[in-house]
Amino acid sequence: AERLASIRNVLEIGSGTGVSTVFLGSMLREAKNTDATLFATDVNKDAIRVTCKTAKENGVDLDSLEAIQCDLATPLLERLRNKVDVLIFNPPYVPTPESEVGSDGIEASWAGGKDGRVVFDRAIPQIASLLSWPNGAAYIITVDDNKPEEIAKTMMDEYGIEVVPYVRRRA
Amino acid sequence: MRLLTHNTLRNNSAEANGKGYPLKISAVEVRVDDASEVGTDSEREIAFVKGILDMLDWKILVKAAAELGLNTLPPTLNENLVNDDNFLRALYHVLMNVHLVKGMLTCPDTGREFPVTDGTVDFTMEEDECENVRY
Repeated sequence: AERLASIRNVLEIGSGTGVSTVFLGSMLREAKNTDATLFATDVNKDAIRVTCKTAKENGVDLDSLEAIQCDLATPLLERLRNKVDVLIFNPPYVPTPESEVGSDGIEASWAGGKDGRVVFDRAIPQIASLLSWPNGAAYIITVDDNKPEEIAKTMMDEYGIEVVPYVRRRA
Repeated sequence: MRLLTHNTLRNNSAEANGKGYPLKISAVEVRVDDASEVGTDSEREIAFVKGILDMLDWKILVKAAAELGLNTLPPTLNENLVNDDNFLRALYHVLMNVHLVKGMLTCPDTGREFPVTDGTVDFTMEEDECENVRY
């Protein structure tokens, strides 16, 4: 509860339907955190629209949620540097042929290219620059095909960020 | 798109070379939601504004508000204003209740345009523009 109360900036990259951020928004509201700003980004215009709708329908005041259509968090990088307390990223993690990566249609929600890592790898430096120190945390979903141990090593070696497996599920 | 959001956006493409802000606003349609009545909501609003004050680029905010037709913000902040609840509530209203529904954001350095439709800004760029994004 203390952690929830201290969160100031939340960013979800690739919000899709918006359920993750909206869920966090409702938890923040329950913890009486009225200071938090929620940002959601997605390359797909429909996802942006649905994210806003999900927020509205779940009473997460549109006040504190702003949705921006863009690639990863590109336009926010300078201004939110080291300011994001909670970052949520469910990347397109399915290994696919390279040609499927980079659209803004529905395939953008799963197409991850080689090892399902193409989009994720581009996001790593952005995530590293956005997280607040020392307690900023990113919650990210991967599958074994993405070689999570390799990701953990890169994050630690290049950015000093510790990667901790949180939950493991069979899909 | 709210003024608070505009304040956080920059054209970070390689082309812009770090000069991709402030994004000039051309407004076609603006919607202003009602300010809340004085009451419990105003406590929340004041707390929220106090929390984000250090995140705001004030000069950019003043210019952007003017581009949306609001010329009432003071050119600089001072101690008195920052501790004035009425000012903070008014600032909340400007930051959060004024929505650019339709218009264009233009990069002052490269002239690149980012359209705003249905209240959201489209900042998607081509892959080569993203390649040397500044951090």
